Amino acid sequence: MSIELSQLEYPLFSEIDKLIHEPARLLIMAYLYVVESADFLYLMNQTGLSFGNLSGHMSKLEDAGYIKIEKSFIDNRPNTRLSLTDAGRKAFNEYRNTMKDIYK
Amino acid sequence: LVEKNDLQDIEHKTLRFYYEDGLLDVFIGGFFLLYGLCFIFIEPKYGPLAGFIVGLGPLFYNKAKESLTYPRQGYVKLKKETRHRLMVNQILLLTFAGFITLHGLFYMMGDPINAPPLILFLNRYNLLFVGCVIATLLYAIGRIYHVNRIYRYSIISLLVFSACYLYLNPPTIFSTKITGIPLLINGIIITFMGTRQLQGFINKYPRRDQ
Repeated sequence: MSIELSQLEYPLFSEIDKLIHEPARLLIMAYLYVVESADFLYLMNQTGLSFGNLSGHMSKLEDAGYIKIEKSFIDNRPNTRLSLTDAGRKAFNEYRNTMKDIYK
Repeated sequence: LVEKNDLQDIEHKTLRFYYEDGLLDVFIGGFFLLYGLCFIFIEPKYGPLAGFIVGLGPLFYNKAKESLTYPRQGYVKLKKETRHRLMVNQILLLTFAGFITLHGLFYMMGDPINAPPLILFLNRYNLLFVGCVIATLLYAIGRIYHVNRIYRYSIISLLVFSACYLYLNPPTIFSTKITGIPLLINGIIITFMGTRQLQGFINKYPRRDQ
């Protein structure tokens, strides 16, 4: 009820992308935003997320079409490379703008 | 994370993380070491040979990155704009280095008799001049890559060249043999510190599968 009220009072709140708003996913999106692509190990080291945690968030972002995941082998070792899709980049920009508007 | 400054911080952190392995330090130290040795023990005419060996450096550097860094730290491909900006800065830096070196050598190896006061001044303090140029270049490298520890090498270079100027009593004309000594000392110190950084990196990040 209180959430509905605050959404009536602050309509911008309803525009926040809940998928990106989650701290761990926001961190993943931000790290991918400033680079062209990065692999799984790099993101694990940078975000401090565990293997399982990162995998879970990765799947959610991939399902939303925000990130692209490419699996390959380098020196017979599996390598998972991630990059933001155009939709992901747009969604992150919109999220940033919405948050800035809220804080204004 | 939504502010532009925060994203810039993340970008800088990415660069710092990329160069955390210490290979850049070893590469810079090796460069000074090689040139120091060339200046002291080999005829200056073999300078192009040293240049050729240094030119092979990036090849070894990339191989070392692939075998040591990426399996431990992960691989990141920087954005096209970032790569372009780094490339432009590197070209500017190399141009500046080449310009200063050629000008310096031209003036310092010229006939000091009847020379204008500026050239006499450069010759008198040639070791300090070279030290200042190296310190400036190292400072610029630190700025370009956002790697703060390179600033330490800039200060070390200044100290080493100043100490050599005070203790070696260098001649008032540029001498490759004398200039080679601080170059060699600088190279040994930076290579040692870079190796320690690399060792710390290997201990901090064990090899991991994805």
